[in-house]
This record gives sequence, structure tokens and C-alpha cells, in this order.
Amino acid sequence: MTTHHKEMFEHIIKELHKVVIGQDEMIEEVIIALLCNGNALLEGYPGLAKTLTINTISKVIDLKFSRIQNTPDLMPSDITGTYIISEERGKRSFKFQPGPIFANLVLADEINRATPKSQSAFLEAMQEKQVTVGNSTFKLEEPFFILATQNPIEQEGTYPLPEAQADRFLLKIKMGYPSEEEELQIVKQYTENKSVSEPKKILDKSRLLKLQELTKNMPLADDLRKAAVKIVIATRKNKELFMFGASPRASMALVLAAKARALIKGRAHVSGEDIKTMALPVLRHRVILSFEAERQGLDVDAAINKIIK
Amino acid sequence: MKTKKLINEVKLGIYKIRFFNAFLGSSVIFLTTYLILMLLNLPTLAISLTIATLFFITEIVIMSKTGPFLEVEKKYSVLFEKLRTVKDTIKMDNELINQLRDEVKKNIKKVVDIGDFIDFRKVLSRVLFIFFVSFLIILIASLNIKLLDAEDLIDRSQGLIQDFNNKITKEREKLQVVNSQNELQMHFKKLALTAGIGGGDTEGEDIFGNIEIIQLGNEKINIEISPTDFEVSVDNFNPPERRNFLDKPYEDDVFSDNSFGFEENIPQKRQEIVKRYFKKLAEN
Repeated sequence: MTTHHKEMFEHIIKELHKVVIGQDEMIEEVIIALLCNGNALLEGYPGLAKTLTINTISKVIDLKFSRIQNTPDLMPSDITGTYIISEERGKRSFKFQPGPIFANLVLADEINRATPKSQSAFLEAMQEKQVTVGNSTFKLEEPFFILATQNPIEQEGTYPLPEAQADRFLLKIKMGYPSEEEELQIVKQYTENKSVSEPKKILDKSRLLKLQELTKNMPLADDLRKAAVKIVIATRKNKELFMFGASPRASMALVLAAKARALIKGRAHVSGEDIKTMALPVLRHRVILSFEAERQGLDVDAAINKIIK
Repeated sequence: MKTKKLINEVKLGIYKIRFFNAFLGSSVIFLTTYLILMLLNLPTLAISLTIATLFFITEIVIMSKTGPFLEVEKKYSVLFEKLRTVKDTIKMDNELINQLRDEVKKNIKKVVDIGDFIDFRKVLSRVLFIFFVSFLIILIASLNIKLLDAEDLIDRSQGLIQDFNNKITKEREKLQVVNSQNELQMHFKKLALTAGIGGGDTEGEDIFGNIEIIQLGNEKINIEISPTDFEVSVDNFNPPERRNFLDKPYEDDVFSDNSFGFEENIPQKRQEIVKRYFKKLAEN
């Protein structure tokens, strides 16, 4: 059964690779976020196919996709939707016009360019999977994910995500530059007069929901659960490395992400390696480095790695 | 076979091996200690049994720190993390767990052999050692060989310690006597001063006599005379000496005159002081 799942995920990745060259780790982590029914924040320099990857994923999984390009003048109603006056048979009434948040997969591009007011419009949707406009609350269709991107450079005129909002992202996925070989392949694929083959649909909504259920059912040994919690607690206790540690939400996220990784890898149990691997994307946006760690020239990933070891 | 039963079997097998190893190890310790104690002529059974029991408990505690399943997983990489997961999710039931259980069951039956956990070389060397030490014990016991009489050594050292203690006590007592003498002297000097005799330093000393005699008071003195001085040897005798006796009972120059009483040559004033002193003593 798990072999079958492994083959299926390999197939999805293969389809994604038709469009996106390289970025295996990022693709795997985005799928993990989808399996955990969580949101992901993709951070990388411009031109690393962040938007393209998310767009392609929506095609492979057959999800209703929408994109919100965040700008400083973006209003919350541009995200959630608003009431408009509609006229039917001479009668005028207010009708709710759903915003782009009403989709299965929402790409919040350059989320740190939106004002805190607009960023907060995502909060309820991300955590509660619902949107409140005026006095009405609208349930969002399952599955619902927000995949946001942000640029680590050009910080002028940006609004860094508040801690509360950053904590609502299951994973913070860092994207690196492709290797020389991969870059060569990218150049070849997109500079020749050759049409890029369209990715096939591999999954549908109902199948994805079943996979999410299966992820939660992934068996986990008590020792490993303890190890995961210990890692998160260590971020709170180690004041030499972290000024602020991760919350219990991070413990839940770490265990769930490890389960999803085990499913992708075709295993019927979570391994210690799953926990170690997922600790970085789960914790890196939930901790704040101490002055001492910064003085030592450590970045967040290096500090987390110190704890894992 | 049910997964739970199979897992319990594995656990029981590991516990049995651990117990056996600890028992064998403590047997080696017991016999070695017994042999050493026997050669030193010390109480054997109680000490060696205590040491062996402590060793056994320590071994069991150390072994139990590593869970039995982790030990199995370390031995068979194909079961790594799976066995513990199955053990911890034994009450749960879903398709993934069932798949894992089937996989673990299959692997346990296929690869796990409890015999793999027995280090035969180690066991054999221990058993041989036990045989050898047992033989030595019997031999030494039959020949009554002792390298050192530690019991006698302990007795002697205890005697030495006691002698030393006695010496120290005596020295202390002496010191106390000296101290009390000094205190007494000070007391007499005070008395002399209150009685208005001299400056209290040297003037009154001659009239109070020797301070050590005063101090002795009513205490009993045990004098032991060496009985060897009074031994009468029958073998050692001489023939009686011939003696010439005088005709008269006394020599001519020996005579008696009118007697006179001994009169102490103490001035009248000082006599009164002495009287007052003893009177005060009596009052105290």
C-alpha cells in the first residue's frame, strides 16, 4: 500500500518536473504541507520558480487555484471579497462577491509587500479555514491551502510578517539556486521554440483529502514523538541560541510533517530521519535568534541544526 | 500468531538472555571474590554473596536502560524503528498500522533468532572461568593454603590501635593532672592572699608543704611490688654464717638520756595562719 503511495508521489514529482527543473526539496516540502493540510511560506530570490511551482501543483492536483499579488495598496476586501449591490427583477440587494481567497490553493505572492491590515485578512482563513466579512462567516472549501511567497531581499517598503501570522504557516520553505546542470536544462527548455508539455492531473480533491487522513493515521513510536517534542522544547530552553523558542503548535507541526514525509517516502512508520529533516522548515520561522547566536555568525538553520545534533 | 504475542515473545526472549548474562557475570564475580577472600582468610560467603548480588542488580539496571526492542532493532536494521512503532501502536488499528504489523511479523519470523543475542564466545569463556575458579577453590580448601592471615592482621592492628589509644588517654590524663595542679596552686595562692599572707607568690609556699601531697588527699594508692623480688628459691641457699655476738646488749657509747618532745620550729604568727587556713578549709 505504501509502495503504491510512493509511486504516486514519484509520479506527481515527475509531472511537476516537466515544468519545474530541480528544486526537489522544495517540491517535496510543498507536497508535505498539502498532505498536512497546512500552509507554506516559500522564501527565495526572484526567478527561482516559486510561483510557477505552485501554479503547476494546482494543475497536477486538480485544485481550484487563485493568485493574490500582494501590494501595499491591497485591501482586505480584495482578498476576502465584499458585498456588492445586485439587481434582480428590479430589486436591489447586497450580494456577497467572494474574493480570491475562495479557492483550494491560494498563492499569496510576495506576502510581505501587503500591509499588516491586509496580511491579517489571511489569518482567519489560514487557521480557521473560514472568512468573516461583516457579520457573516463563510466556510472555505476543503482542502484549503495558502502558499505564500516572499523575497528575502529588497526589504524596503515591505512589512515583515508578524509572529502570530508566521506561526500559522506549517512550513517555511527556503529555495536555493539550481545547480549548474539544472540551470543549463532550464535555459534549454525555455529558450527553444519547443512547447513545454503540460503536466497531467494525478490527484483530485477527494483523493487528497483521503491522503490527508492517511497522514494523520501514520504510526509513530513514542520515543520519536518524545524526540520531536524535545527538539521544540529545546528551542525554548536554549537561551544561548534563541531569544524566543517555538510554541507547542510547532511540536504538532513537526510530528505531522514527519508523518507526511514518511508517507511520501513510502513507509508505514515515521523514522527519526523524518523528524530531523522536517525540523528545519517547521522551526525556522518560529524562532528568533539570540544576540549571542547572531554574534557568533549563526543563522536560524545553523542554530536549529545545533539543537538537532 | 498475533502481533502482540509475537512482540511479547521477543521481549521475553531478550529478558531471559539479559538475566542469564547477568547471572553468569555475577557467578564469575562471586567465585573470584570467594577465592580471593579464602586466600586472605577472611569471611567468604557473606562478602562474596553481597558483592555478586550488587553486581547482578547493577547489570540488570544497566541492561534495562536499553529497551529490549531497541536492542533487537539495532541487531536487525530491517526492523529499525518499526518494532517500537508496532509496540507503541498495538491498540490502534488502521490500514497503515496493519501494513506495518504484517511487515514486522514477516521480518521477525524471517530474520530474528534469539540465539543471535547470545555471545557464545563470551558465555563459553565465562563458563570455563567458573570451572577453573571452582577447581581452584576446592584445591585451596583441601590444602588449606593461605596467602595472608588477614584476620590475624586485623586483630593485631586492632590491638595496636587500642594500645595507641590507651597511650593517648594516659597522656591526656597526665596533662589533666598537670593542669589541675596548676589550678590548685592558683587556688592556694588565692586563699593565701585572702588570708592576708604575703604577696601570694613564694612567701607562703613553705608552710603549705608539697602541693602534690596535698592533692593526693584521700585517694588510694595501688602499689604493686613485683612478685619476682619475693620469690624464694629452694635451690639457692647457703650454709648459715657463723656470727659472733656481743656480750653486752648495747655498745658503751649507746645510752639513753632524758627525753624531750619534738617541737616544730614555726613562729607563733604563722601557726595562727595555718590554724585559720585549716579552719577555712573545714568550713568550705
